[in-house]
Amino acid sequence: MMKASLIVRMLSSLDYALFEKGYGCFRLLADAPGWLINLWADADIGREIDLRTQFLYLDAFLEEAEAFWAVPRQEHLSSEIWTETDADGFEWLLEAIAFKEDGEELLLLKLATAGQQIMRQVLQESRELSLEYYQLCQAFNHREVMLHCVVHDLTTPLAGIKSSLSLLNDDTLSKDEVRELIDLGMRQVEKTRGLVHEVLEAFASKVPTMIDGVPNVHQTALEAVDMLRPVAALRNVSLEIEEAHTSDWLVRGDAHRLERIWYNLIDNALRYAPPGSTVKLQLYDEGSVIRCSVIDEGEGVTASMVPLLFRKFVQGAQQVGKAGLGLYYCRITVEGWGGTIHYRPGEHGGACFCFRIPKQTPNNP
Amino acid sequence: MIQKKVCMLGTSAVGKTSLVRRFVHGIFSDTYLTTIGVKIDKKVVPVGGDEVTLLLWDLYGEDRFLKLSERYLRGAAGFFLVVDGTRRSTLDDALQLHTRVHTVLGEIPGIILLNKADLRQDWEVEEEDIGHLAEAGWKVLPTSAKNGMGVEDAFTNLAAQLLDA
Repeated sequence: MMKASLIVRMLSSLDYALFEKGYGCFRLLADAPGWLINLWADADIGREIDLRTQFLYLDAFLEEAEAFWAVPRQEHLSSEIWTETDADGFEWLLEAIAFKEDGEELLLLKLATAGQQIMRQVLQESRELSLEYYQLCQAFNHREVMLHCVVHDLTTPLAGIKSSLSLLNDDTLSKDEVRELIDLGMRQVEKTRGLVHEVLEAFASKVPTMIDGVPNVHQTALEAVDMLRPVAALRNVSLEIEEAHTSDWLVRGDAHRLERIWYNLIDNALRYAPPGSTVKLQLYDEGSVIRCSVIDEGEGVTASMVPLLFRKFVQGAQQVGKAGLGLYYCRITVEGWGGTIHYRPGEHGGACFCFRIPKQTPNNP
Repeated sequence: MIQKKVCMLGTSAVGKTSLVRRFVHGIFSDTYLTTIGVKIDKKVVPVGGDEVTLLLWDLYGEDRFLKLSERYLRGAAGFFLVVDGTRRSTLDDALQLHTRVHTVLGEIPGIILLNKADLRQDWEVEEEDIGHLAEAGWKVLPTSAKNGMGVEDAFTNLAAQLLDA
């Protein structure tokens, strides 16, 4: 049988701290291991300590231990692992074991095992790798969006150019009308160049939130309508603008992107508008914001599609060949300017896409 | 002095430890160091005319590598479900974790913290998700352990709920 004092010394040399429960506190039975001195500067053999205050985790564990000590049994009670930080910021992984020997209520504090330390390293590395993998996936996804946006931006204005060219086939056109169509086509070409540049610029900072210049929301609507008139004419759809009288059409954002929002929404509406119908643009001054709507007389959006409308890569039934990024672009851009965008069914059927943009004011630059 | 145990819950690397460090010590570090087991800190929070000592149990993040031991939860009076706004999946994980926590702790005050609000432009958690959480009765607060935004408010808010509970 080994002597008790020998066992106590052995525990100490193994880096264990053995405490005996006293009245309201615990007494250290062996020499304090180094890690304990780092956490409790006064640690020394025979010293008493209020472990509940010194190690907050033990406040909870000792409640379990009290119940364990109250019932005579042979087994021990182990705590979960907890972390203590010393004055130098070093973290110690600790574990407590309550047991009973010759009627004495004892508590052993020990450092986490080598296995647990290795587990920590493995966890740290695996979680870092997980995060890196996630970031790589995001970056990949981001590039994919950018690619689709570029394709989208290249193809959408082409429809306008194609329409202008198709209308040029009409022998009854006057010289002025021909010149106007060529001018429109040229502007579409310039627009395409500008849009590609814009997309690259926007995705360089991931999401376009830049506020540049003071766009006139009414003027940008007129520009977009002008661009899409040939497309509307080919589809035999009228384009109308209704605006409440105001001279205060200046909003946050920048003109190119605002025009593109109009363009995407009108282009979308023309796609679904039946021949002979009208696509209406409405602008209302709501005080601090301008409410803008694009309303068509088509069949509207099915209820199941509504929650998905403004997400990326979502395509409507007739959107064959489209990337499904038009409405997504509208949302991230409008939200980037502090605005909102939503869909609701039109009052007389059809679809109504509505966005609100904060006005440019001295308090809201 | 009233003392309440509050658990910081959520999947790994959402910023639980950083939020506690910001709140208790007023510091932030960009270095990610995974928590093993639990780290406990405490801070006295004034609420109205009273004071409450929050015992903050910063628990290791649960993920596919490690499941949370329910033993750590015993005696908790409230909790934070911490979500990384830039990773949508951490919201799903947090809600899943909550269903398990609920079976252990029952109905106790809890707040969802949408952390990393300084990276708002990169958030995958959308307004629509936040709306759904609010509809489900959750209090949802954006926080940034990095710049401190919303951190003090979040802890004070929960402390007030704990006093009312």
